[in-house]
Amino acid sequence: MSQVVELKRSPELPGDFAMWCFILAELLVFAMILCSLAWARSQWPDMFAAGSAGLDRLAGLTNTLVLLSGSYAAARGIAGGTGRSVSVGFALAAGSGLLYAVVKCAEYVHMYGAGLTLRTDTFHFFYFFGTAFHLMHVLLGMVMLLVVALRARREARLDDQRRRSADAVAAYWHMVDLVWLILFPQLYLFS
Amino acid sequence: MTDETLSQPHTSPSGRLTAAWLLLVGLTLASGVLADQQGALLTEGAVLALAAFKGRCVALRFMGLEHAPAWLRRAVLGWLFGVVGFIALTLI
Repeated sequence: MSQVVELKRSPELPGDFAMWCFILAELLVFAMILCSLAWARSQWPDMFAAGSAGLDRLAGLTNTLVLLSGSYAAARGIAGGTGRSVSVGFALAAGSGLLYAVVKCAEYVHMYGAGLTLRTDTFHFFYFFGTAFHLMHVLLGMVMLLVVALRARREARLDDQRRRSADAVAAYWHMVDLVWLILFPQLYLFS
Repeated sequence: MTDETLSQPHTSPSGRLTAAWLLLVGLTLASGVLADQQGALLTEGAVLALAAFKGRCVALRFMGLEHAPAWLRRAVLGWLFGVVGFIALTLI
């Protein structure tokens, strides 16, 4: 009688523990912003409806699609398993971050030109503070993506250390995407 | 979408990522169309539910949490549904 022994590998952490501590801390900060925004909206519904109506919804939708595509490129790069795939995927993801930043800055310039600032009202305080804080995370993510893309480009196959670095940076990038998915409807879609 | 439909066993990792990306793009466009409807609470609830679903898809598929340790998956999904739950409460 043969005995079949099934060996189950315990699930591995994608990336490293330190990066996940950082990501979870960042998520807590964003939770405060997102929940404060929701609470403020419940207190001043008319102000927030008027503020949302004044935003460029097409720009918000475009940026959502751009970030989702960047996340997809980063995930595909890792799934490829080679230095080249990571390098190309991460470079494309960083490019999506650049496009996101350009669209967001164009929105800021347009709104500033219309006399809207952080001090206009509570809605615009949350709009400028929340999106600028998020934009800073996009910019930091782009730098990390480019560093890993440059280091990985000459490697045929990723070693464990490079793989962990790529996983950690990709997880950070997806976190930026995840936060935007909740911030976007609150600012642009709720009326 | 259930966990079973999220993890189709016979598709390649790249194919599953592409399917998730196409789904996310479709849901984003759908939420844009939904937001144009004048239904207030129901519309906002639907848009929020779509955002939560998209977030879950990003966490499980793109972040790779479907294959990660349970504590990490619970922490991230707990964050997502906790925040979305709070927002939903403020809509009522």
